[in-house]
Amino acid sequence: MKIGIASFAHVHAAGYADLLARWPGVEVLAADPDADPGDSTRGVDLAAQLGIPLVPTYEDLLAQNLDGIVVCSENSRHRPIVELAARAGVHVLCEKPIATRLEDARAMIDACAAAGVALMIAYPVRFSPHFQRLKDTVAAGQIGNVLACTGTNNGQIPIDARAWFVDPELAGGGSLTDHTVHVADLLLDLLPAAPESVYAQTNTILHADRVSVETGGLVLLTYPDGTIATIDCSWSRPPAYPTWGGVTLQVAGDEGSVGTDIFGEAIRGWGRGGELWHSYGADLDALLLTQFLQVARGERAPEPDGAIGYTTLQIVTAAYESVRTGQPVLMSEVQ
Amino acid sequence: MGSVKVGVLGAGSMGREHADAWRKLGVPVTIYSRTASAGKLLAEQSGAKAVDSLESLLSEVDVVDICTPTDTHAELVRAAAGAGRHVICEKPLARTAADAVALIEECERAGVQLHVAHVARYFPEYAAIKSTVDAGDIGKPAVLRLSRSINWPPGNRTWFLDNERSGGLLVDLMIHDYDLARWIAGDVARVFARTVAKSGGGYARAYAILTHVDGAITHVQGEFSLPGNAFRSTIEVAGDAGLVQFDSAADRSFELHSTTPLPDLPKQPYADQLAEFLVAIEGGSPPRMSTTDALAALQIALAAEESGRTGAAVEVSA
Repeated sequence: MKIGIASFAHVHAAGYADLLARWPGVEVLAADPDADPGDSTRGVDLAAQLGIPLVPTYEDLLAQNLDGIVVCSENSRHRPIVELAARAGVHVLCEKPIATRLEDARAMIDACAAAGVALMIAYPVRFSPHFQRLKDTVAAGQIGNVLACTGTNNGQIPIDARAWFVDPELAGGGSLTDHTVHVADLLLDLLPAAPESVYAQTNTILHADRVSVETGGLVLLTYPDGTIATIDCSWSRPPAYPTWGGVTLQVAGDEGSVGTDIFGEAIRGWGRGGELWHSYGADLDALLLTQFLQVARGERAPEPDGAIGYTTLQIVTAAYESVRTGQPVLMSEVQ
Repeated sequence: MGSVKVGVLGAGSMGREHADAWRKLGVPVTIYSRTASAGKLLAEQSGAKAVDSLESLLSEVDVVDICTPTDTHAELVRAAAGAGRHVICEKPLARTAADAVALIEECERAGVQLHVAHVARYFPEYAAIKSTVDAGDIGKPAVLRLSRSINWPPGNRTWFLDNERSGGLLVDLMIHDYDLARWIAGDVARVFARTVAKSGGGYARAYAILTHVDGAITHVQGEFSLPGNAFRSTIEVAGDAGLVQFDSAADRSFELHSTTPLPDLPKQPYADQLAEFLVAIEGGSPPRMSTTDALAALQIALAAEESGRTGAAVEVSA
């Protein structure tokens, strides 16, 4: 199989490229035309480090008889690349969030549907074996009817790896854009319906000296059947934190509760260099790519697909509107 | 502790907790409960004296300690102040903000002290979080998370489950955490809250999102948990220079697994709290919890209750 990486802008691009480069039966190549020529963390330098071929443009990349393409540009630049990929008949795995504006997401979904190519969104957390087990536990009725969910996706501010994450034009916003969507995707996978109404509050106290976007955020989702879920999307892990952050989800039912700390499997300690954190959990990006390769081979439909990407972006859009008005916002008001 | 005599009103779970704490402090206690048998039993078990009327109690004590349901606080605070007795009153101070404001004024005019028993500030883990933040160790508080989970129904306090009387989870349980959030990150401007419950009772959970005047945001979670679940409280404060956490479930200072049910131990924070109130009553420094704090916590709680009822975010009245 031949897989293209479109852009090294996203922090995950190198990880995907590295996994695919070592994947049996997979050939990987990349294009990173928007990189600054002198930026050694991208472009020619990164491709050389990864040991993968680099072609000059996305058009060049898509002319290589690809089975699939992984879109890792800045959030607001996903659309043109995905539209190009659709015209070239190449299946797409697109980084999250799908886009920064709902109209862009809609255009991407329509373009892929019209071309008959798959559009999958990079939400690796739902492939965690712990989340799968949590879903199975709920589906088996072991906690009764779901009443409430408490979710967190707290991390360190991603500014050092990639500065565009805190640029509102390129990213769409700060932590509310970056960290609401993973938990929102888990909830869409777990619960029978999308939320009906969204309330959110954000602030800019964390890292105020370096950025102007929101860095703290709390979201409360209300569902048609009365279920409630909250999402903490804050970039609230300090530089001294021993790992990048994590995702937690706790689900309370009327007969029990179940929870998961997705990235919590780690050996912890104290060493010469400070606090130690050695993770031994599953590689969720590898699980994500396994799914995408099956999609690219036509063996399965994409999941999570563009529609899920759209709904998670809708939740984020409603959240920003709620921050603006100071009141809950109906999902139906945000199309 | 000098020669102060305390009268405890109410023989429910808080009456018991307070009576035990006073005994620990070596303070003589008189008990009055409208349920005579409960008052008598508590008196026997805690080495106190039971009387059969409020008037008897008021005539023989210096301090009245009100441990009755919330909607009875106002009349009892007034009775105590009217008799010239200093007042300790369990949280929440009253069922309405108007009552709370009036009680504070009336005690002041009567020349008696009023102390509201928000015991969470006296739990050493919360005091440690507060002093860590005050020392600047984590910088300016930005995002706070507090949770509290107690068993349903809490002891024999069935009035608790009547939302009209108690305000439910959003008021009676979560007021502890509204006060702690305010203590750590300052006054609260706005609240959005929602509750969900198992139909027929037996379980409930509520969330409140607080927006503070100085910009911090707080996630408060309260729960009446299913039978068999242990009490649990957690707190996390993320500031612009660091992060601090506490989880009661991670506390290994005493751990027992046994088929024999454990009796409930009297909790030291209740004694520490009452001791601090007594110091103030005897002319020493004011306690860490003021009536201003108690009123503010109640206002947040009532805003949460209103938000839960109306579905809208509610501004907290100053």
